[in-house]
Amino acid sequence: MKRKTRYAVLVILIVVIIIALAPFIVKPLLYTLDKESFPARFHNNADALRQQYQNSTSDISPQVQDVIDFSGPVSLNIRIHNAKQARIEMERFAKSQGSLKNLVVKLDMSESEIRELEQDTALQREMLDSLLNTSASLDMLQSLEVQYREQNNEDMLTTVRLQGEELRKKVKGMGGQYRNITERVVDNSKKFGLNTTKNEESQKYVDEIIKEIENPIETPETAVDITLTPGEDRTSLFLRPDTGRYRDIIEYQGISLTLQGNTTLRSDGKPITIYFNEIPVSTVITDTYGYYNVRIPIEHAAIGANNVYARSQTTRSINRTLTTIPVNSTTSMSVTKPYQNGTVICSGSIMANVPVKDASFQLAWDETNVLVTKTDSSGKFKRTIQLPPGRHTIIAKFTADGYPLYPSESNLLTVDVSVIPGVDMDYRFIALVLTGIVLLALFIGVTVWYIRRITRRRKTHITDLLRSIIPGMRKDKNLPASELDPDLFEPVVDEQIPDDSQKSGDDTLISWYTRLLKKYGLSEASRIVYQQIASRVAGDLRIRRHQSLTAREMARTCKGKPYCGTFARFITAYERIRYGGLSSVKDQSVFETAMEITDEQTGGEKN
Amino acid sequence: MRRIRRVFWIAGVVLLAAAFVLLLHLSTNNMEFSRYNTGWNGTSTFFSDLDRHKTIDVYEPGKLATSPANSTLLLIAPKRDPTAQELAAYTAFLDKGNTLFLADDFGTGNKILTGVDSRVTILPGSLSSLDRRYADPYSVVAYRSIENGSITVPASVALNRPAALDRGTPLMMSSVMSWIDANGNRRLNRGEEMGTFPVLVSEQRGRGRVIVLSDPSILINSMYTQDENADDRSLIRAFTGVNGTLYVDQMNSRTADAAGLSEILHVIRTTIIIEIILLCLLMLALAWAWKKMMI
Repeated sequence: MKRKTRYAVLVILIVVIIIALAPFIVKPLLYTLDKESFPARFHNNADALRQQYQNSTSDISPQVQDVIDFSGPVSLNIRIHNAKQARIEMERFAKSQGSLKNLVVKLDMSESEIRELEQDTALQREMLDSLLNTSASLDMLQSLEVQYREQNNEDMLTTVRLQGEELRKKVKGMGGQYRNITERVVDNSKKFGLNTTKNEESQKYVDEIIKEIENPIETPETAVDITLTPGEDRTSLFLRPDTGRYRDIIEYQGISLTLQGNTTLRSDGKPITIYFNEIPVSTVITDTYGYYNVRIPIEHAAIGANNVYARSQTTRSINRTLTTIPVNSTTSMSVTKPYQNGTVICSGSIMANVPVKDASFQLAWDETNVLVTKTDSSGKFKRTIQLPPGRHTIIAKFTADGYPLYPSESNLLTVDVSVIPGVDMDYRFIALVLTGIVLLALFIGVTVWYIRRITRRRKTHITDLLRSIIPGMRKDKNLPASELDPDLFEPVVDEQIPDDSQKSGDDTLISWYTRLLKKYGLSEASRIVYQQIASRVAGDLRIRRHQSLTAREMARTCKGKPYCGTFARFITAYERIRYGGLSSVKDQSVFETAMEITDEQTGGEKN
Repeated sequence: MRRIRRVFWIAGVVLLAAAFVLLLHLSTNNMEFSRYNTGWNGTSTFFSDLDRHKTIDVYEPGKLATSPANSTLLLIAPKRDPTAQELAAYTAFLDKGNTLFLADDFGTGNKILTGVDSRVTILPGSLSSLDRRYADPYSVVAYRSIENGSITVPASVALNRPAALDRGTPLMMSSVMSWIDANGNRRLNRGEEMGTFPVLVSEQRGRGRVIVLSDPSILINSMYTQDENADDRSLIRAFTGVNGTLYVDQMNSRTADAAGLSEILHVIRTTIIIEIILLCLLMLALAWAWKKMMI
């Protein structure tokens, strides 16, 4: 078969295949629907399903046959507590599936029973809401009770207590009512086989609420002697100084006297408690003269005025004011590098000229996670937190609430937690860069090796070529190109012509051609001249095996040199002489002109 | 001579086209939910419809750490128990006020929901219904159960073998003609209760939001591309066409499954070092071919 025919057959075959595949290129499914409908765990093939006729009685019936075949009363347990919604659903279903005229789903419930169940369920929900509201109101009254008790406000305390009692009585009645309704709902539901678990669970929940309301947790009462009236000067208090900054030492001192008839006695060995903003901060015992003296640093205090007084079991001093002057605080923090499991240790301190000890502060990361913690006795902290992989920001914030200090926060720190356990983010980057460098080096190395190998092979080839042309050429394997180039222009030794016709040292290419022309004719002379010029071009262009190339291939290979155009014209003239039949004088003239120019441009003159 | 050369070029082009078609065919698979599967049970069409400009495939938990606000994470058909790192990443993602959209029926969705402190549960058993799209009780039609909610969902959707959900705020529910086919015989038996079951629920979790769809099969090609399932596509777009960045979990999802040539192509595409090596080899081959041509 001819080459052309072979190609044509191949093309036709491939075109036929492409046409056959064309419909599947967009969606390349080469299988039938049957093969595509293999059973899948998660779904069915909708393409296959839509081929089937659907929603006929014969299609639906088998699916509910089990229920229909049951000899007892047919009862479908409708898992819905809202009968109204069920009715809407049924109507919608009937509308969407118009062909299902024969399907009847019957609820085994009369209208009145459905209505009763609906009413009971609504009442149940209403009572539950009311109970929850009452519980919330009681919580509020309880907190008011604590507040009024602290303020010794007996009137309001009594009012609050009475309101609470009323609410508790109301709840007791509601509890019983809810229980009755729930029992009725559960009985009715069970009768129709409905699930009553949620109802029973709600009863337990309500019982717990009522129990909590009926038996409130007693709040511890602080023993307040409401008969004491401040200002009777039976216990005195003096502050020295009465102004200070955080951690300044304030001296609290005074005297305690006891009235005995008309005599005032100094009470020795009597415990006196110092109250700072209503919080007892220290207790001291009076000496034999009734004096007491204690030195307490300013720690938890409001900025500005703070109320201070001293009291014993029977007496109370007048209120004194301690004024605090706020100072700046400084929060500092450092974070360790993340460990393998993403934990980091945050450590630092909070200072306000002196360490801020036992101070609450926030350790926040990513703005969304907050850990409230405290400093130690020297104002320092050290906490471990676990972070998920990724970049995180961590900050420590000291709000200074309850301190005569201005708030402060640390610098925002960034932590990178690696997704690969045990590899730090920086190491990963370094590893990536190193890998890239190694790959690049490998690539460059292979390329250089390959190019050198090719170049060496070509040099060897040229040397071999020259050696075959030039007798006695030295066998230097590492011959540099600079030394090679002049030699390349030496004449090629043609073994087909006798020695007396070979090119002598004095011959130029033109004179040699003239000799050859006379002796062998135009065709042979032109062939020998072509060989000489072709070898020069091949040497200059580093063309391996140029002798195996045809003259036209040589002309096509010659690119990027100024003589290539001339060389191509020379080849055209040469081919006309060699393969064009009888040569005319004009052809010879053209050839010789081209030969001279090519010889000159390829460096022939210098030889 | 010139004619032979032209035939040669035409044959070359045709051969290349044939090789391309063959590669296209071999690069697909038949794995359930695989994005590389162009068959009926793959999700190739859904993935090709995603907006590439704002969709990010998540291959490592750390990727979620850099998520901007108002992002959505799609978790489709998880196939294994989530790792502690993945759960931590999901939790952090939610804590930023983002949305986690989980589509799962019989996978490991419950483990993920528990891991992110969600109360929603995927119930066992296939949800069945007489109210259905195709001639199969598992092709359940579900209806919108909440009007004017924060999420706009279509009036109804067709599902393909869904599960039922418990807890959370129901956004879509099956009709009253539904039941959970506990024994898997596709029939309503005594003891199997009929009623409405949630199939799409939403739950506020701190600043974030968890949305659970009990059927990832609405994303498969044979459901997604049907003309009659336009509402399914609307539902999907309600969650994928969000304004923020869309993250698609590829760590623990059947959609990332690949086999054969598609797996090789996937590995090459996602491994930068292999890409570099291949580029180097290609350049070497080109250099060699060019050199040959020159000589």
